[in-house]
Amino acid sequence: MVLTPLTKQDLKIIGFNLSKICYVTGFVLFLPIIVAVSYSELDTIPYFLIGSALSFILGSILYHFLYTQEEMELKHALVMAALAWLLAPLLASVPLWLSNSMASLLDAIFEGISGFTGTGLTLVPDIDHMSRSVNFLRHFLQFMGDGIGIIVISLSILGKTEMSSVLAFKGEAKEVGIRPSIVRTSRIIIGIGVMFLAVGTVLFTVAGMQEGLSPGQAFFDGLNHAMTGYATGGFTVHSQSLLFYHSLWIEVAAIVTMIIGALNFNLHYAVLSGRRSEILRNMEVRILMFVMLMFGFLVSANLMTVKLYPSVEALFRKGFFQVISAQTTTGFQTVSPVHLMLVWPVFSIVVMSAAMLLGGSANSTCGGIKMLRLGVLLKSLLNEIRRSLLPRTAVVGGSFHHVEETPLTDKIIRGAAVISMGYLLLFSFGTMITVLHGYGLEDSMFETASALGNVGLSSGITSPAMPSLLKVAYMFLMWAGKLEVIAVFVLIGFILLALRRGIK
Amino acid sequence: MIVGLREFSLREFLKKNFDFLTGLLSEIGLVILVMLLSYALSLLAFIVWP
Repeated sequence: MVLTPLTKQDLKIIGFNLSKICYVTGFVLFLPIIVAVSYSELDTIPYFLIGSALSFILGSILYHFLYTQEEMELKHALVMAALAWLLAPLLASVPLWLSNSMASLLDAIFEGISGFTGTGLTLVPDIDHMSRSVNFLRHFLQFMGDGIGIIVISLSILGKTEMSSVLAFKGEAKEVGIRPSIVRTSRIIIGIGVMFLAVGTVLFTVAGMQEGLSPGQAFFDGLNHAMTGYATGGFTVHSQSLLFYHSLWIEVAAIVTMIIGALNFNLHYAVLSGRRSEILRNMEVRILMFVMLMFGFLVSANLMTVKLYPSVEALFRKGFFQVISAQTTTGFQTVSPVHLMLVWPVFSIVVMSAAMLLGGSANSTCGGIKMLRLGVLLKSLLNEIRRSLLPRTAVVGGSFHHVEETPLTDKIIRGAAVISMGYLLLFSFGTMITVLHGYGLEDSMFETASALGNVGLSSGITSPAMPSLLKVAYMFLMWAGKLEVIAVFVLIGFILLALRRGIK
Repeated sequence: MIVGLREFSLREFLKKNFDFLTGLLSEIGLVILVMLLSYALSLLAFIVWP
């Protein structure tokens, strides 16, 4: 295979498409001004204006100087997506840094990446005393970045050509196939997101008022938690996460938004269009529910053997809640990081790490390897066993039901295996780096799985005081996890090719 | 607006959005099912390892 050298046109295509991402980021950074005005936090407005203006200026420069009508190819789309998920967090870090909410610029960039990728690991030293508008921005980043997807938004608003859009979807690790038209697909994804945001906000607000919060406070907390719950992001308005409330109703509202967020967009569309039986027939939903309940039971049983919780309710609200939070890659916590690492048994920590690494549904807001790939790999394993047991002439094939009956082809199996392998490689790399910094093995596995799976549960390693090298390593893991690994390797290949052969 | 409200028919609305509303209920039903099963499994763990 001969690799064609990169051309200036390649860079032009990528740069031009990045301009749209800058415009959307500019809009995202502008919106918190409404919150600032509502809560009379006028001193924060310049931070958002500067961040937003920078994004629009950069977008305009890219648009003006790199304007092209040429279609993207898959390599452009993958590199564009990889760069978009770096550029948008960099721009988002500007208001976070200017507001003095973060200890350093590096921490602000970490927060931006954690926000846009929907991870939820945070380096904010004092969330409880943060201004509401800046706090809102953190949550809004998760909803726009991970809940809907900045590339999806840029396509639906600024999308130009069908082919480019389809490829850009692949770059963002989302499938196409809800509707034939990509712009219509994008709009459906946005519509579904906004609808579940409304449902989640109502649930959280009612639950908050039930616990005695004022309507205004309940709405603010509810809106933010609905955004990060649906986005399976995990940022919260309190440093203690949902443990702050000690409320069963808020935890129930969180479970609803987390599970809804963990379902495939194609499935949402099918079910909301009248194919209700799909919800129980879908292979991915079945596996997700089975794995989540099995992990939950294992953790509950393990917690009971050490007699940690005195009642069934406590076991459900701590054990099962944390497993659902881990499996859906959300990261809401009802157990403090210190309690988790010092009191919970090692077996439970390992099970939670596995749940975070496996993640929720493909083409959803979740991170991790994804249940669809797990299902495909399990089915192919079964096929291999059948092949060994049956006569040599027997034909072993098969299919799986995922919105429609899909044949289990070698291409699908290879794709699932390659991405799973990539995740496992990065998991080993992250664990080794963390252990090298002097942390224990199970803490390191837990925190790495959390960063790579875009979860946000913390064993306490992630803090403003953690070593800078580890912060950079986790930023890389969050970014690579969001892109499902492949786009990262394509970008590295792109850079190496440019270095070796130059740009023609 | 008042005229619009007068013309509003709940029956018509439900008929038009039947698929959407029942779909939404199915998804919420799935979540309730998961919560019930989770609670039942917590209870099982509590009974087996008291």
